[in-house]
Amino acid sequence: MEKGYLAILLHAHLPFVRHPEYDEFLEEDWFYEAISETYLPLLDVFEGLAGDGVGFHLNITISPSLASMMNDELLRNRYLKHLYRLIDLTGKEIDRTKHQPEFNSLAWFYHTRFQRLRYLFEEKYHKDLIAQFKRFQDAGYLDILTVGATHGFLPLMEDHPWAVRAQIMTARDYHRRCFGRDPKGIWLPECAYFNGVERFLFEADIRYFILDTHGLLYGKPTPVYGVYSPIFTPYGVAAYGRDPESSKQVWSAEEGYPGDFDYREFYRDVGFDLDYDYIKPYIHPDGIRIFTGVKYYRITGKTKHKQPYNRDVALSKAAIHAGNFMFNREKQVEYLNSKLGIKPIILAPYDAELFGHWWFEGPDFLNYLFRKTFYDQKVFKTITLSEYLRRNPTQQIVNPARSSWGNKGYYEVWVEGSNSWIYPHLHIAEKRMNELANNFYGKNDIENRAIRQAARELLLAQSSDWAFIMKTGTAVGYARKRFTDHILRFTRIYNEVKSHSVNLKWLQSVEDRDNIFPDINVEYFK
Amino acid sequence: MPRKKESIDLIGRSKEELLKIAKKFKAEVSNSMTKAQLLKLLESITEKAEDASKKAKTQIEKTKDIAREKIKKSKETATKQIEKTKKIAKKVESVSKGIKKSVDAIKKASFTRQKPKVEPKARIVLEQVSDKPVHGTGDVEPTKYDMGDMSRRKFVEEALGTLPESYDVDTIYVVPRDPEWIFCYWDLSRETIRHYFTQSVDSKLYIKISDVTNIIYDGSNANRYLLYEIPYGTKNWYAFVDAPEKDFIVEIVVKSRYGFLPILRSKTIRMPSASMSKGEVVFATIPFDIPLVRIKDILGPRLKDISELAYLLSRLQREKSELPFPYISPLPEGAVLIEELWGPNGEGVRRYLKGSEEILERLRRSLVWNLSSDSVIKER
Repeated sequence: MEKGYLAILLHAHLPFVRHPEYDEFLEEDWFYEAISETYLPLLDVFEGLAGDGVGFHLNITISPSLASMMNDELLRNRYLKHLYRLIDLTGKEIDRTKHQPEFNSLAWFYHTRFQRLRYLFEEKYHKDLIAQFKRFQDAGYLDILTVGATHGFLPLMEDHPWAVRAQIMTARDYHRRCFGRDPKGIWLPECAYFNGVERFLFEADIRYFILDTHGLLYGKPTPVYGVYSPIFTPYGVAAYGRDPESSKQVWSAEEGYPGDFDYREFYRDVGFDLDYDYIKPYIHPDGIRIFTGVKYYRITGKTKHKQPYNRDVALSKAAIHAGNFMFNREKQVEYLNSKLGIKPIILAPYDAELFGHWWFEGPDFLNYLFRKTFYDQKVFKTITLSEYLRRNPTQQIVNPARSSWGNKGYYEVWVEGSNSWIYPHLHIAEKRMNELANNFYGKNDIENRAIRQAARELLLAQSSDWAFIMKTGTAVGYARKRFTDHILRFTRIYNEVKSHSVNLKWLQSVEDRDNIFPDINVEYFK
Repeated sequence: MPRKKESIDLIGRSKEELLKIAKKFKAEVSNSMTKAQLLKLLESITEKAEDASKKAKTQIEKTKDIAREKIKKSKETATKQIEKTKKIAKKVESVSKGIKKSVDAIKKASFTRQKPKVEPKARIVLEQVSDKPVHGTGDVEPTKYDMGDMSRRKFVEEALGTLPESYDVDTIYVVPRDPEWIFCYWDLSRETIRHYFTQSVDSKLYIKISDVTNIIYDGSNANRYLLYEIPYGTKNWYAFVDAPEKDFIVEIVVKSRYGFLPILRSKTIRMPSASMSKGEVVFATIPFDIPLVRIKDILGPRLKDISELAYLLSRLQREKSELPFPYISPLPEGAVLIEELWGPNGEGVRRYLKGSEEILERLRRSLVWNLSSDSVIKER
């Protein structure tokens, strides 16, 4: 009989980036790389586990903006084109490296890998990733959580309840459309909590959300089981807290597994390493060097002289790390069980894109972890967050603390010198959207259509990713442009609706471009 | 029939002639073979050759058909276009042939795991014009947004302009950013400023940040307050208060002969908590599979607001009121661990928070750095 549970949660989210107006767009690569390095490899791991009869349970968020991209035919086809190009490149690499055996075997590895990804994406999954996640959900392996519709930072909308409501209800609706059922859990964007957000979760019948550790421990009162059991907020919605120990083991840049010297080096990529004329057909058409995902070196150490990557050694290391992680969880669960007198739950949330994109061997680590957990020990089991609450319906009532999972634990990342200028514009747009929904919606078809598009523009402007990128200070241009464009498009629609002069041709072009949430419900903005 | 005719021709030939013919086809023959054996061998060679030629012919016909179809289509399109478009169409056709060739080569390589013959200059384009909806899943009716591939669609120039400096409205917004800092922004119309400046003794704006914990604020009874003169043009402020769990109100004021005159006053905000706390430990049983709205209905008028649902349920359950789901007792004996894990004053939590930058930010920062380029934006 198990003494406790491990709940791994992968937070999969990308901002909605889709530019049909350009043949190729650099930031769309975020999505393509994540498919190749994270989403498809994860699905492949799930296939293997399920096929081998390994009982595993995983919690995963798929944000509505990410799901929208997964469902988009243009992006699907562009991804395939991206993949074919990599197959082409790696084929060429096999020839180029024929006299360098250690690199030649890697070229073959990548070539075969990209071919398999193509097979999975095009032939096996028919380009429909959502359907695959749904399949594993329906089979009971996955608990899929939703996120705010466009990952809007909810505490900064607190004064405009309709804006919070629209983020949550739109997410609920789109989740239902994708996965055939309502979400039971939500990842509040950036884990950012304010007291009262549960009012909107209540309406969507979302039964639990995630907090960073201090969101629970600084609650009123501090929960008696710490973060090792969920709590009920006064609204009856449950909240889980992040376990810092297991997070640190993976997250930490210094101590975490991904920094092991045998793992693949992220920064050495043929997109930057190879001769410009040779690599030109595979980088950005403007000649900007980019990461291709073909990387030949291992981390090696704190040195610029990197050694060739050895896939077999790296996989062995992933297996060792999985064993270590499991061992630590066993000890942790035994200790907590003896001290708390309950079957504790250890919640370990990570950005999904960590597994595969940043930490190339991450999906293999998960594969080994689930297999070892299933076969090699009996102290704990993996569990979904829904299932834990189903089995443990009695919990302490606690009023959580304002918090987020950003640096320093509160809102600073999203409200500081580089990005706070966006909020006056956002708040005005939120008020105006409320005005459009209350006073102008439902009067005539063209204006209704315009108001629905205004809602999309507002949602897209609200994405917390823009503020985050501005804060990083490294690629501010794109974030500023995206934010500004959405606010200006919103404003133009607002003015045109108010003056009953909607420019249909322009509206059509905006609808084509920002085509997220085709069945958006304006009622939520009232 | 050709085969029959050829057989007859062969039959009429001598054994030496047949040997010569067989050698021409590089068949393995020897002088010891009889004429009948030679005839049989040659017949099988002929059959194979015929099959191959037939296949080749079919293939050629197919290719011709496709080519004809393409030419027909492009002709039709071309005739509808002006001279300039004709030139573009021709170019597209020649490029698409190159593309098809390279895609075929890659596809072949993909399936056979052979080294593909790469034509470096050929570009690969696999986008198809699809009549499928943009959002392919779900059971929602296709909507006007389902327009398939729009990659070649021309977009209307937008000329969106720039964001305004001010919306000319009177508003103030305040948020407790963390236990130490308040962030505040405001906007004031010129008319409002003019109006209040008539009553100002120094024609200056001030920001006043008042601690209003446990009081009903009347504008002058703050527990303490901070006051700063606002430099011209400034519209936001970060105020350091370092006051976890205290309540604040922020005002934009002018100094009048009678004291501070508020122009804008914010709502009351409570600063976040930064420490652990003790309090009454209360449990409730809330079955996961019963919708919250249903539970609300069960509680009926006893529930004044949904923010009280859990506490009301807990009280009713402890009082053993009749409810359609039972109260399952918790196991509170072990509830003494927190200090052991985090230290008596939660030092462990603070250490953890300080270290929380770690990889979350580094990862995302590097993603952004890797995949974006400001220079590209500028060019666009």
